[in-house]
Amino acid sequence: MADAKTDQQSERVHDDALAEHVAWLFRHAGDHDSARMLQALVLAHRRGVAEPGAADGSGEPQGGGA
Amino acid sequence: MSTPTHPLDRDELARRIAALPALPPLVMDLLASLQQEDLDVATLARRIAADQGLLVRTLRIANSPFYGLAGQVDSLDEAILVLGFRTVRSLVLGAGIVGGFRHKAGGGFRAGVFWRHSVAVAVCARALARARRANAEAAFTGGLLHDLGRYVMALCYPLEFERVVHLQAQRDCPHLEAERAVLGVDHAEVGVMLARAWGLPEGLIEGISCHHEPGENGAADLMHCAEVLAHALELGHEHRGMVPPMDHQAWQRGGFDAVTLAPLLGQIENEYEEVCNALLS
Repeated sequence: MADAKTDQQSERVHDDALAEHVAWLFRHAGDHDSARMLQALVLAHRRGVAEPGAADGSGEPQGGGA
Repeated sequence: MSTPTHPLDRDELARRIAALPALPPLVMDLLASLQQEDLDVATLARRIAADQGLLVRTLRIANSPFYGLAGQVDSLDEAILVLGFRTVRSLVLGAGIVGGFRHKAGGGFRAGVFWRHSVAVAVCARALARARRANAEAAFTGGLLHDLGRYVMALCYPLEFERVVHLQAQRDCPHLEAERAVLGVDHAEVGVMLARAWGLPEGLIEGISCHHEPGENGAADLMHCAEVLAHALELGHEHRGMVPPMDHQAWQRGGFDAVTLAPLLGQIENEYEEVCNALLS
């Protein structure tokens, strides 16, 4: 039980770090729909999501371009 | 824009570019043939076959897992029969371009990183061109050539190139901005000067010229989106990665939305590794 909780926490920390890294990568990309779409898509790809929720460009990236 | 700190003399730059050795004549003729409708395939194939070094490298790429023909192709005729002349031409060009630029550049320029990035953009450009039903092999070649201006800068102006690298790290700004601030010229402009000196086809020059700032030009849009995608996937990236400023209009004009792109990302990553192994190892 405790192990499962630790695993979940560790997964969340990893996921937060991933989102933060992708946001950092896009820091100069721009503040417009195409930049947000690609950022969300790359994040989904990194998370291993085959068909991202961002597929219609409406995904919500964490953080934003410059 | 602020005054550049070490502006290059354009005439001197042009002289240094003119003094650079050109790519082999066969590679130049194959580049020119990218925009020719009436190809003399038999003559070009004979010339490729006569260049043993290029032929060996081409067959090595043709036999890489990417083409799914491992161990099956051992002659140029066979490669053309199985893959088609246009694909073989792009393999020869890949081997010829990478092999033709073996000059030692200074200023902390890292040729390995440079070529991995060029391959990444080439693979992205080919995938995007396929999605748009555009000329995928020309896009691949354009990707390999898109950043040659950076190579030229490091080759002809190593000290100034080093200052650019330092400034970029210091300001955490895109390459283009640092180049303009230090030299008053950017690698796209330098690349165009080289491409014109070599007489490259206009389609390739457009990709080199405007890959950071496309202006309603199909080839430039494609190269811009490929450049962005390569950085976004961190293919061939340097330590401090960064997606360059994205031109929203270019992405819209290209129709590169999430639905189009989602299935391409994994495929691009796989192709990138295989092409790097075949071309750069």
